Amino acid sequence: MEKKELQISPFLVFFLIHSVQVGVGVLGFQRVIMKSAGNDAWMAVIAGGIMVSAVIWYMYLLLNRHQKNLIDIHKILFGKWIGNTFSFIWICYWLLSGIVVLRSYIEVVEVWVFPTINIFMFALIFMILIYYCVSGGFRIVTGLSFFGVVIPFYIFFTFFFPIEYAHFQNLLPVWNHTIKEMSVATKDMVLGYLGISTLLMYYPYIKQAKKSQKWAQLGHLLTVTIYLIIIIISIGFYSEEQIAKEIWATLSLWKIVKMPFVERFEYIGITSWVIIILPNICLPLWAATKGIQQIFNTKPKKILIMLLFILFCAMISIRGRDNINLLNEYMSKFGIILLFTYLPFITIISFFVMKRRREKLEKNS
Amino acid sequence: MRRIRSLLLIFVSISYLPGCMNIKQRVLDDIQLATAASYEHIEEDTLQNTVVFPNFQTDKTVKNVTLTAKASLSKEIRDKHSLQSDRPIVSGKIEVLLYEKKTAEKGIINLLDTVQRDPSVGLNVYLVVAESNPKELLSKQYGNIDTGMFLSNLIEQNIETGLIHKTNIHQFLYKYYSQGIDPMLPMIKQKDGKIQLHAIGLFDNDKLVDQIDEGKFFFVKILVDSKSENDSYEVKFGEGEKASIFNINSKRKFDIPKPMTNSEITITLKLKSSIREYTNGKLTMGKMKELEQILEKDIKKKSVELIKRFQEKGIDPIGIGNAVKTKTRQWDEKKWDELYLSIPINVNVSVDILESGIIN
Repeated sequence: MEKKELQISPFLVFFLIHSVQVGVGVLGFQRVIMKSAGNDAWMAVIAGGIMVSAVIWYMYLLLNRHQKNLIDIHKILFGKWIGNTFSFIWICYWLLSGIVVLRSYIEVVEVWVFPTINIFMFALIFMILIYYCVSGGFRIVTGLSFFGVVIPFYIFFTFFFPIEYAHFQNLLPVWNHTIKEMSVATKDMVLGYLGISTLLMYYPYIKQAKKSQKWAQLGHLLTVTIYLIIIIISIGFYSEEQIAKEIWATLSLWKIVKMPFVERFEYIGITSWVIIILPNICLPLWAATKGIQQIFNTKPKKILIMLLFILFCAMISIRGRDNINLLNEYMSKFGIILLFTYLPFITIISFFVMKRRREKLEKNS
Repeated sequence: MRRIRSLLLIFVSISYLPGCMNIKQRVLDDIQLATAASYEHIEEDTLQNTVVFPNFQTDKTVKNVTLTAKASLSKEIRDKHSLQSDRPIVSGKIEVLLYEKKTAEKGIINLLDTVQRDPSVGLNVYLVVAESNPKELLSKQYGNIDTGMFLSNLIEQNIETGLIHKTNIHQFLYKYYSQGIDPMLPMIKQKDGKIQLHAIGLFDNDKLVDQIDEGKFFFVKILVDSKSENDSYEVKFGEGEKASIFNINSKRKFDIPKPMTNSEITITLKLKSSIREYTNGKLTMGKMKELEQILEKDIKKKSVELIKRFQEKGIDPIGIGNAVKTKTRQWDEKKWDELYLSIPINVNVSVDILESGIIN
């Protein structure tokens, strides 16, 4: 556990979990899940939500047992060398997720707002902003998550504009897809909920950490609700073949919004999205910095600058829809393996290892 | 001191960084905002395209300016327009897209590709079929605004007052990509120097195949929209007796007992209306009941006729197929298309006259 003055209140976990889940994924998840589940896609959203809720549950199971962060747990379970190797894989994952989020966002800006934008400069300004946030420590990142949820929340009300044109009978007939199609869609949907793994790093920073699971689950519930509202509106608003053509279906929903004082809403929406994106990049990057700091025992600011340099190089070297898509795919496979196979595995191992050690201790005494 | 200096340096350099982002500024006074564009095939592979934009005069009046160019791709046309213009033309304010009738008969989905791809064009754009020459139609000024805005207001006003169904580019594309429903678009023509919205064009996928004239807009509206209001209808009966009714609201319901079979489909229309005009003396309670029955019969007969006409052409603007699709798990578009041609469709109408205006 960390020092008292560095810790945060348990209810802030609500914002930490929610802000890291909602990112660029929301802008275009419909096409992927509706490809396999069609008008039943909303069920995949719920099913995916339940699965991720289970992940949060066993993450708490593991963390509550050890009361330490993932790096320390690795050291306890596997020893210094193997443990650190596993930790390093997680650090790579967090860094990669930062890269994917930022690059996907820059792509949205490129395609929707400024086609000729100089990515070099744009990324550089972002780097300075991220450095400012992450170097401030975990409490600053938490504050950022709080504002990243509260300030842009008004955006979600604009998703009710398309209802005027929605044909909700598209939801019928319910359940006309096979179990196989639904499970493919659920797998694709789980990607929208990824990012919660940073909890493994900031757990020691939570006051009365055991009680915070309730808030984590509630934050996740808010994410599921938002995804559910958007998918139901999308199913009504678009026909299935139409949505197959939309890369960013959520953004295209805004094309119908017309208010007396603003002709088109996308531009406001995309710029407001920066506030939503920022905790999405800062939190994994903070986790990666903290991890490396613990493994190598160096100064966190130096590590952060190094990580930002990698992030920056990735920003300017990855170009084009295909490459970004490919990166997204790798990253999501990576995330699924870590969350759904590695985490249960380590939870079980920790159970047996701790049990055996306790027995040994009892024998010795 | 050194710390402050370095902070100042960082601050100054950050504030200059956005200047290097290579963002094109577009000052409103330095661009031409096109408000309408028309497409017309003049040869097999050549398009003639006319764009309209407002030219704001110093005395606060607006002049209508058009540019015409020919090319085979519509973005290529924009370059050609640009060669004729003193300021760059942008498409962010396009309100109306016009398609010449023959072009619409050949199919318009390929022409819509560039509009769908372009993030600066919204979904509130109106698509219109022009029966007269679109170039002439657009180059004339009809009010004290440019023709693009005029057309946009014309259609918007008629949608709001309930004369035509809701339409825009999103609804067209939605119906085009949906199974079991075909799109419709309003049609305009130039008549005695004025623009008139005179028909509704019926499409088979993206090809114009038929049109419904003015007098029957009422039926199109109550059949197509599941809930509609503000429509008006005039009925003649007996000897010189005439009445005009106004719909407070109407509801349409499909009754499909056995989907994907040849059994009868019933469309139920429930109209709640009030009387706007009646030419034959006093309107008694008995007369009202009689009028309701006459209206029910008349609307039923004409609706059935209209649906027969749709079936003969193999088009489904009402979306009967779409309603069938929601009722069954055995949906098969090809099979339905064959079934649709011969399926018996019945219409049940119930008219309820609630009010008769402020006089008896």
